[in-house]
Amino acid sequence: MEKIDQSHIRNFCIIAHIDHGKSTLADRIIEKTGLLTSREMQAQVLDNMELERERGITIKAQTVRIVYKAKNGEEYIFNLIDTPGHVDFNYEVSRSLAACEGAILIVDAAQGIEAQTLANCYLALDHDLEIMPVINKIDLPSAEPERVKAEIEDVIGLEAEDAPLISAKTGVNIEQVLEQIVSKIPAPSGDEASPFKALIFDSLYDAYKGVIIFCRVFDGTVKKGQEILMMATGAKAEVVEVGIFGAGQFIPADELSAGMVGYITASLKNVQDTRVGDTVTLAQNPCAEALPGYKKVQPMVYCGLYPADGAKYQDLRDALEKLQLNDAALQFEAETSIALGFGFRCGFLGLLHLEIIQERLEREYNLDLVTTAPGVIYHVYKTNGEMIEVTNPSNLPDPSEIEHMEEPMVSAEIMVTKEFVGAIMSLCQERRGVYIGMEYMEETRALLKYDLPLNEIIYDFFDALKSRSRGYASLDYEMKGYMPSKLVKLDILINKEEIDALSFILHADTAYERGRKMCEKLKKEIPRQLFEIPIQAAVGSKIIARETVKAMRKDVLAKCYGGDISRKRKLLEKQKEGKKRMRQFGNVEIPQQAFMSVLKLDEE
Amino acid sequence: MCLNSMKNNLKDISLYIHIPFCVRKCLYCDFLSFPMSEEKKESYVDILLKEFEMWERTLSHHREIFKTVFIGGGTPTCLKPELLRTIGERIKRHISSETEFTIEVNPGTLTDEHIEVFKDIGVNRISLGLQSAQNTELQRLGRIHSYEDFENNYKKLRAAGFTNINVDIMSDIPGQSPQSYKDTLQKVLELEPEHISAYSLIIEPGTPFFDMYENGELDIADEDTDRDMYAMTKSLLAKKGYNRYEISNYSKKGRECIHNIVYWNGGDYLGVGLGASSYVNGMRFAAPADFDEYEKFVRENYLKKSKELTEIASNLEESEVLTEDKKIEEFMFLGLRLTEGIYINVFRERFGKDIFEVYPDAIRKHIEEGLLVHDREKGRIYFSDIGLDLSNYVLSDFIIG
Repeated sequence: MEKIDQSHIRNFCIIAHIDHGKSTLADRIIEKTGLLTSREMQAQVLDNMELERERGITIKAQTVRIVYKAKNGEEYIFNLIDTPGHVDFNYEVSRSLAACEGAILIVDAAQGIEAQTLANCYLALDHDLEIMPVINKIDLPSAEPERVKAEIEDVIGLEAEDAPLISAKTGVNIEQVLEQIVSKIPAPSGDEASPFKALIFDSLYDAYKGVIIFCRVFDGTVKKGQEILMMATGAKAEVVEVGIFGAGQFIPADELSAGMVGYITASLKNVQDTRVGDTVTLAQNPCAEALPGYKKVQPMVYCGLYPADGAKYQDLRDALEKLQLNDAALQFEAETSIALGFGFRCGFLGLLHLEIIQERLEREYNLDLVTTAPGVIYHVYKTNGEMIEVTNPSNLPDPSEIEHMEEPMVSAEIMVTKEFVGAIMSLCQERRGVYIGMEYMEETRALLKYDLPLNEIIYDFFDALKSRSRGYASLDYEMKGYMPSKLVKLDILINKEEIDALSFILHADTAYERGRKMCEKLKKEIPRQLFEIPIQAAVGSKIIARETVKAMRKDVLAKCYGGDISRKRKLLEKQKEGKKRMRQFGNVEIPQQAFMSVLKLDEE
Repeated sequence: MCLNSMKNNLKDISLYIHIPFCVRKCLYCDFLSFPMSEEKKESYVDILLKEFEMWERTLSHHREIFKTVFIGGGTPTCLKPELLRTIGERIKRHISSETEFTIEVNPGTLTDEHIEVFKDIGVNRISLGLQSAQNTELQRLGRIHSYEDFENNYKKLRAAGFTNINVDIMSDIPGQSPQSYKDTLQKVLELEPEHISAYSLIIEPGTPFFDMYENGELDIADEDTDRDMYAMTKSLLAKKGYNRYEISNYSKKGRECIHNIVYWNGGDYLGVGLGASSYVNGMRFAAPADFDEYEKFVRENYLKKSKELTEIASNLEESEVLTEDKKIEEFMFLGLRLTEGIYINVFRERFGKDIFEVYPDAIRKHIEEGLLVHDREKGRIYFSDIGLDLSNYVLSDFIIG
């Protein structure tokens, strides 16, 4: 392969709020550069996981290298580095940005700037990226491109006068975007003579190649046979192959040199060794210092995952191990529950990450799971001076041994239109938020700043935010550290027996309300049985709420004649399936659904 | 001799004829039925008789004479008397004096001519849809008749010599009180019908009642009231000599509905008409429920003159050859609807297995819970009174796998 001059490389990413058209624009860019025939185009080339497509979001960053022949007759290499679009993956976003010189900022012509857009924009500015605004969805009847341009200039302070007005969906004005990539985004300017230095922005485990490191080379070159060193983890390995990214395929190359984006394989067995943000260099001739910004990502949210069928415990372990090969942020360790048997306490970056893992386990590994309420890491200061970290409510020491407890806080920024400011402020109050400030971005929109306990936003805060703002509010947050808090453990007793899997830690002031709601919800979820079943919520030995599932008195199909038999059978089959999803606690059968339902108490 | 033994190998079969028309659909009704023009009704009967002929050619394993015939709906009396006569004439050769021949009658549509036709074509059992003796409740249900219409017609039918009459009544009607329900029961009992079907209202998806219920517009009896009415049905009817022989059916001795017992005992029945279900030679199938598709199905297959039932039935979207397991499941969940229950030796004869080996846990569990009873003397298993109320909870455990 002929060596490409750095001046003809453009490394960039696309930043956008969810649904503003990032993947669609990426598709159009790939299409217009002509390296793919339309037959090869999958509907959305970048989002190659089935789950991502269904949710319309990008979970793991994907990257493509394409060739664009510009109007000046020259050919340019575009490396389009995709970024995940959710607050759970902020750190990953920042590392993808660090691999680029520029970013395309997509703003929806109808909806304007959202909190996430702004947060990612600031991240990009922090990395000194050239930001190139693009206004999308101009084909919508509600599009207001001039208003949105003004907003970009006022709110972010970016020049937006010549921002292309496009429709990624219909392909309008995509050439303008391509030309501006060439003219506006700076070329990389690494030193090929310096020691090899590259940034890991993603990695992937492949059954044949082992770990595939996605990296951006800043200085020097790397080729097959050299020994590389991951500076933060200290892992070393011999390079087996280097190459670049086609669309959905890996294309081997002789070497990777300064300015290029590509991959390295080095028979590494685990992505734990190739952490996102780490610097790759050569073991024999290392660079003087690592690239800035590396952090070891830590799980924020924990929950118990249990196989619905106890016999599937080993299968669940195998599946988690496989997922972990590709997901350095996923943690798990074995635990047992009296109610649910053998399972795992798992750590995630956030609730979305949790849901994605859960769905992948169920879909790709065919596992039926019971999940316990997600929680955070509490710092428990004991009377003997010791501090322990607790993620599983069952491990909380006896109240007499606890001196005090602390919980993690986040700084949250919520962008919302004026009319919903009141509703969102009261939501934040209910969730124990501490008001920090409010700025008007423009006449109609405000940016609310709150400090919130992490455990108040991991359950259903997003849903509540959306429903109380009719979908108009958007949220961004970052960790802020620990604060002392009056925390208690809430227990649920069904038929007088404590169900450990339903216990959780929460603020004392919210215990009564949550206990009451949980009892009400469980009453709806637990089917009537032959006898009456009390459901109680307790803090310590004090019962704070109670409901009763009355005994079943009627479960009968009045009519069953010749035409009803097939329907009747289906009904009984469904009932039988339902029974299989029950767990037996003493005399009481509890559907698995009940464990999940208490996670979403504020749906109404 | 040879002929005789062959005859003995022939199976009994029943016939169901579906008339999917009514004057107006009741608010709770989820049966396949709708108002229709007179011409359309005539052409329907025409297709239906073609369908009958098509199946008739395939029934060589069965006796010539139907064990029972049931014309249901919808509202069969929505058809002009002459159309009913046409149907009756066509099936006449398959009917003897032994055949139980029932027709469903809506008290709002019955005429003297209808009664005359019934006599002529051999109908010997009438099923009258009353539901309630309170006119306000009848209106609330969307029924087209009054209690007085019912009483007049009941008397006319008696006068015409019908000695086997069923009356349908309903509990849990919106706004119904235990007193008004009791009054309905008493009024019906004064007329001394041979058979009473007593249902509680079921709110089926797709009916106006379902939407009203979802919107909180239906005043439905609470659980205690429902239980009171339910208990009242059994005790009042028992006092007057009616035996509860199935979950919702009561009769004087020897007046059980033989046609329905065929369903519960897993007997063969042929259903003709729009959407009608059949169970013949171990195969369950149903005609299309869409009018045009039904017509197409009949026209195409009628011309083929096939003598193989399976060949025709397998063209249907809804058709299934029951596996042995499914037959066993049906034996349980249909047979146990009868208060007499199921017989252990019949199970063994039919399936060559011991019932306790097929269901080692389920039977024992529900006996322990007091929902099933094992009558060792007669070798049968049947529902206790509480068990009948909770029958789905028990029957779902007889689904295999």
